[in-house]
Order: sequence, then C-alpha cells, then structure tokens
Amino acid sequence: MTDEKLKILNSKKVSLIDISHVTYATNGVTILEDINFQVEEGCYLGIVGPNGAGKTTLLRLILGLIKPKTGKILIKGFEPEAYIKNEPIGYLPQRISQNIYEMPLTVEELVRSGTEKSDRDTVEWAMSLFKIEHLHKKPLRELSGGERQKAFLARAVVVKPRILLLDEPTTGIDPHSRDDLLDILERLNRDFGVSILVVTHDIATFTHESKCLLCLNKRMVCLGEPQKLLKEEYMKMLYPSYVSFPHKR
Amino acid sequence: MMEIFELDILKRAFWVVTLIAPIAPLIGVFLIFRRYAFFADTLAHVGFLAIALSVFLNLNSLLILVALSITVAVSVEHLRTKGKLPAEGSLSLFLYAGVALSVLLITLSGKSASVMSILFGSLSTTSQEDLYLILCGSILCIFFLIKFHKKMLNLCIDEEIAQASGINISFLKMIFAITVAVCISISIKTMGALLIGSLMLIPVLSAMQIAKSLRFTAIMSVIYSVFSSYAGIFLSYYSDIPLGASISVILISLFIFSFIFKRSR
Repeated sequence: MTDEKLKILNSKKVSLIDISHVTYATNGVTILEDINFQVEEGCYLGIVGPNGAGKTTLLRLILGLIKPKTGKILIKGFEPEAYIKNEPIGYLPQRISQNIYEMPLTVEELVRSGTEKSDRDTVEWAMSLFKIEHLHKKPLRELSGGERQKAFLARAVVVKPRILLLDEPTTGIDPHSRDDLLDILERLNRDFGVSILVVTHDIATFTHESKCLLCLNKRMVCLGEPQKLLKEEYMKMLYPSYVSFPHKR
Repeated sequence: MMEIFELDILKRAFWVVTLIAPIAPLIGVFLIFRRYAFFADTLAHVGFLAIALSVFLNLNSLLILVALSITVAVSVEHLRTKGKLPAEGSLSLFLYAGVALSVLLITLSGKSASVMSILFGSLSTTSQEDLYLILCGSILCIFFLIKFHKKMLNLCIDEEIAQASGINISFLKMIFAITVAVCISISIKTMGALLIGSLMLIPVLSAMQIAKSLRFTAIMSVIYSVFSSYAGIFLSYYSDIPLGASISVILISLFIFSFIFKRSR
C-alpha cells in the first residue's frame, strides 16, 4: 500500500475502521458474535462492557493480532496487517509484560523505541505532550503507575499515528493523573485529529470524554452518543446485576 | 611477557576474542530482556554435539557447528511459535539430546581427551580457516545488530506493541534465533560449550548492576566482555586453565565487584 493509494482512499471517504459481521471464537467458546460497526476519521469511541465481554479481543482483532472466525475488518479499506505495515497504529495494551521493569530502560529510550527515525524533536514533543520530559533519564522501574502509563502513551503517539487503541489506560492510576491523561487524549483527538478507541470500565469518565460509546457483551448491545445510551435499560442489558439508586428529592 | 604476542595460536586467540567479545554481550542483552537465556545454553550444548560429530567424522567442526546450530535454532523457534511444545520443554529436549549424542559419539570415536577443550574452551583449537569463518559470522551478527536492534528492543518491550508498530515478529524471532546460533557457533571453540553462555550473559548482568539506561548497559557490557576476554587469554596462558574458564572467572569477579559497588552507593 503506497502513500499515494492512501491519499486516494482518503478522498473517497472510506470509513476509517469497517467491521462487518465479525465473529471470533477460541477453543469452541464464542467471544464475539456478529459485530458490525464503522468508525469514521476523528472519532473518540469508548468501548464498555462487563468482564469477558470481548472488549480486548475486539482491539486485538482490529490490530490483526488475531483473526476473526467469520466476517471482515478493514482499516481504510485494507486488511489490518497491510494497513499497519505502512502506517503504525498507536497501541497501549491492558497489561504490559513485567519483564520491561527489569530492564534498565529510561523513559526517553522507551519513547524513542517507537520511532524508526529517532528524531529528537518528535521524541521530545511526545514526552512534553504527556508532561514527562523531566523524567526522560529515569528508568521505568523507578516510575509510579501513572508515570509509566504516560510513558507508554508517549511511545504510542511518537510515530504520530492516525489511530490510537487504548485498553483500559486509566487502570491503577489516581484521579488526578487520570484527569490529566484524559485531557491529553482529548487534545490529541481535537487538535491533532487522532482517532481514539478506548476500552474502559470507567464509564462515568468516558461518558464526558468520548463522542461515541459502544456497549459490548459478546454481541453489540448498543452504539451511539454516550448521554443517550447511559440509560437503565441499556445498563441492565450490559450488566445484569445493575442497580440504580433513586435520585434525591 | 611479550613472547605471548609472537605465538601464532595466541595471535589467533586475540583475533577471535577481538571479534566475538564485543558482539556476544550485545546479543546477550536481548536474550536476557526476552528471558531467553536458556536458549543460549541449549544451542551451546548442540554445539557440543556438532564438535563431537566432527571429531567422530574428522571434518571441519565449525561448518558443522554453524549448520547444526542454525537448524536447531530454527526448529526450537518453530516449535515454540506453533505451540507444539512448551517453550522450556523444547529447549530441554534439544539440550539433553545434544549432550547424550555428544557423549555417545566421543566414546565411539575413542578421542575422549578432546572433551576438556570442547567443554571449557582452548587457546589452541582455532585454525586459520576457522578465523575466516569467525570473521564472516561476526559480520553477520554486526549486520543484525545494526539493522534490527530497534525492532528487537520493541520485541523485548512487548510483542503486541511491536506487532502494532508494523514489525513482523515471526520473521524477527526467527532471524534472531539464527543470529544467536551463529554467535554461539563462532565463539564455542574459544569459550567451550559449557561456558559460552557466560560471555553472552554475565557482562550484561554486571552492567545492569551499575547502569540506569539501556545505552549505558550495552556500552558497559561490551567493556566488561572485552576486558575479561583479553585478561582471560593471559590467565589461561600463564596458568594452563582452559580459556573459557579463565574468561568466566574474570567475568564472575567483575560481576561481584559491580554487585558490591551497587549496594555500597
């Protein structure tokens, strides 16, 4: 896929991510069933659902790390592997192997590893975006959970990707760091046009941040504007044990 | 003291360590970060088999060594990737098969005197022809390190992140396995089958005691490795200790020094 082809595709208004009739099963267990939706350029999509709903699996399918049993996933009209070869996708997995914290790897080295060109300005830009430039010489093992998360996010954006896939980026970090991180993500989406897909359990927070919400529970429960979807009927479909507290009079 | 530099076998030994000492720990960095240090041991024991086979057949051992090590490296990686055997299990299988067959071949050949130099390295086993092969192997390893070090770092950080960055991780793992096989093959005559792993891994562990960045770890591990290798030649020459053992003893001493230095700061 050449850059020229990508430009042509952009002009034809192809959906950024097109997921049609995707089913995924492993060891005879269906994880996702008949998933259908399109994501347009510049979106900020929150993906919510209970444990085992297939949220992480959906991100891994979009990245081409696993293949759907049936159905098709296209990114800008291309299979994920073909797209990623030319245009990396920024990705933050839910769990990062603990090996990395045994390595004497500094924040700057981690962020630099994300780009082939080792362009100093871009590396500094990515670190300053997440306000971690003062930590550039610190080994990752000496950072707090929130700082580590920011370092990995800086690594994910250093290639200036068009798409950012984040799997529970706010897990294990304090409310202040979380708000900081959400502000930066919103800036990336608003000012740099980065399309963001976030898997989260933190529904309340992402209701304010995301422009669109996908409720998933092996199948698609609903997709639309967060304010319209966060109603009791949908929440009960998503979380069967959901209990709403009566409003104060 | 200067007569040491006039002997042909020692000149060759100096050339060999000049080629392998800076490369081995740089490859070792990735072995340690991928928690794959056992892989080096397995290939070293397969190297033992290759040398035993060449003793048995009276052939050039380094060529057999390179061919057999690459075959095993590719097989192990294949079995691991396809999940046909557990990772550690496939390594153990090849390790014990290598040792058992080596002992069998050496016993059948009736040349059991050569076992010491195979296991613990020697100053004198490297021929002029070997030196050229070692030079070619070193160039291959250097090419890999220059071309793929950044991709390897991504692979060490997280396989899924690497894949999302557009890195073909199956291909990368395979050529890394081949490079490790080449590196071990070219070092094994000097270091010995049981001790080659020490040149790849101990300098890195020592450097990690004092370094806080990857770059400094790599630089320090090369310094430790080169210093130990040159000092090991002198120690081996004057004390008759096998070369691999001499180098390893110095490497261990440096590790202890670094370990204490870290805790005393």
